[in-house]
Amino acid sequence: MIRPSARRVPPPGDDRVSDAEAPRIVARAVERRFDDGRAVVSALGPLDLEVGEGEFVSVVGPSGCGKSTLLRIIAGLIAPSSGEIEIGRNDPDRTLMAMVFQDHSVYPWKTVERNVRFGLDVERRGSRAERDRLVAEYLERLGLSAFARAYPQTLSGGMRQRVAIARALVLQPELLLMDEPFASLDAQLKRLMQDDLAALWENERRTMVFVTHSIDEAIYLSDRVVVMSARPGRICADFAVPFARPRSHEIRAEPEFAALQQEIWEVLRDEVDRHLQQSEAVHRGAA
Amino acid sequence: MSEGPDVAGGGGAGTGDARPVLGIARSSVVRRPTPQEVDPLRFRRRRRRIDRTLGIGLPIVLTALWQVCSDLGWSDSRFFPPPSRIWTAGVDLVESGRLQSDLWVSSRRVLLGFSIGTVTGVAAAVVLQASRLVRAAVEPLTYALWTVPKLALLPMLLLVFGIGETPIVILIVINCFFLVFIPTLAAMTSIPLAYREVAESVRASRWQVFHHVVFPCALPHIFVALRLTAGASILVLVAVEFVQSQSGLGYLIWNSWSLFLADRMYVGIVVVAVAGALFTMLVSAVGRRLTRWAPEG
Repeated sequence: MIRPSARRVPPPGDDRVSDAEAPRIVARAVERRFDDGRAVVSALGPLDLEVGEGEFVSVVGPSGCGKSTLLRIIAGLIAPSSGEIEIGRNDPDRTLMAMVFQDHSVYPWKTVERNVRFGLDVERRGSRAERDRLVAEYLERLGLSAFARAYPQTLSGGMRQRVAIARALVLQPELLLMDEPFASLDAQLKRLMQDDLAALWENERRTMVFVTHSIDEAIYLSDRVVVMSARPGRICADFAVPFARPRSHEIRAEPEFAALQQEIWEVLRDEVDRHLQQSEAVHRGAA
Repeated sequence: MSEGPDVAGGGGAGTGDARPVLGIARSSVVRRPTPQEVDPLRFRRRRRRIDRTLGIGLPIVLTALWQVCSDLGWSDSRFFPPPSRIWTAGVDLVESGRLQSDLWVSSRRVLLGFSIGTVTGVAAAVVLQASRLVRAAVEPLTYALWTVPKLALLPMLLLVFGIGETPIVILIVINCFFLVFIPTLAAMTSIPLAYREVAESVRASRWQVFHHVVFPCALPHIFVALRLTAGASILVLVAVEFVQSQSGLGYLIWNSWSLFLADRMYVGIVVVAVAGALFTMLVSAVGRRLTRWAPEG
């Protein structure tokens, strides 16, 4: 795989060690513009990013900066307007990637079990018995076995998001993409789900791109936190997270955690300010 | 426990009575389980029983009221014959076999027209939602055709197909088609993006997206349309039978009117109304069974 010439913006005091690993995703000068017929809005980039094999990378940024757009381009749901993203693939017989969406993505007309097996059925992966076994395994892992036959309508928001996560994990993809999967959960539930996700990930170590607006969540879960600028989103900082794995929530009490959180926030705050000024300017322009 | 005297005796579910309490406050509010919490199953059964009783009870009360008005001479029984006389006329019609044969003829027309019309309506919507090009070409035309008063087509249909069952059924088919086609297409083209993207993210084929996402997501809306169409199909049936038929419930009503047999006319009207209610309820019941995942609505 080719290394991009454009380097990441080195964060102050960068002490990353994962440079030795082969990159799994390489984004080169990726841009995305949206054209609504009257005006062209530049939503993303040009952006360069590299995600290493087996690396957990979080993307944080002000709202509307194109985090989700980046994820959708990686997933192939939309195409970039210019530039390209290259994604390495090890095993053509395995599912390359699976995505977990924000709330409201679990199908209300399918039972929990049928939601979870949706991807497997669509891709017709393996024998029926094999699929049954996988579905049962992941229902068990995410604590959903007792609700297998329930409709999502009858579950809590946290349970529904577990279904969404199980639906992606059951495919055993080489690459996982998550778009603010815990955004709509309450604070306590969010922590529990973060613990679960950390444990699941440490078990399997799949390459992960995780979009979130929570710095705390990003640090707790990731190997690297990438900060995006206000629209059009570019990478403006890149932080390595030094904590050893497996992690427990105790790391939140460590001084380095708070220091890193502060450092990321300093960068992000400027961008959030810029985002607010931008939207003010837009409103003034419209008035 | 105590929330201060100002809330004592406040209304609402689970609010017990105010009573003096310990300590500083003069009274307190006690939240207790209501019958609904104590025995939910019995409560639900009871509520369903009450709902049913009300649904059946109101028509009975209205009928009784009608009878009383008639008996007391408050209404002109030449135009509004009392239910007792309608009942007698109905019994006569059943004994002569006329009501059964008319009911059978009409049911056959409606069921045939309804099934052909709704199936083709859904099928056409499926084709159009799948192809933006076909949609762009055909959609404006269908809206134009929808505006044509369908009954005005009857003479044309009679000209083409001759007098008989075919033009009657076709007219019902046309009505059912549009009533189902338009809302079904609207439902299928407004599926939440997130649902589509989930399927696309696992590289579902167009057929798989339709089968797993578009169709089930649209199904509750389709059944709302079917429910309305069930009633509308009977409306069209009666209208056609008024003008162009020698049999069926519409003919029974029209023929009775022209012979000035008000009792018999009302028998026809009542049977049509009851049949319409039963048909609509049947469609609803099927819909509820097929969309059990959907919130009640």
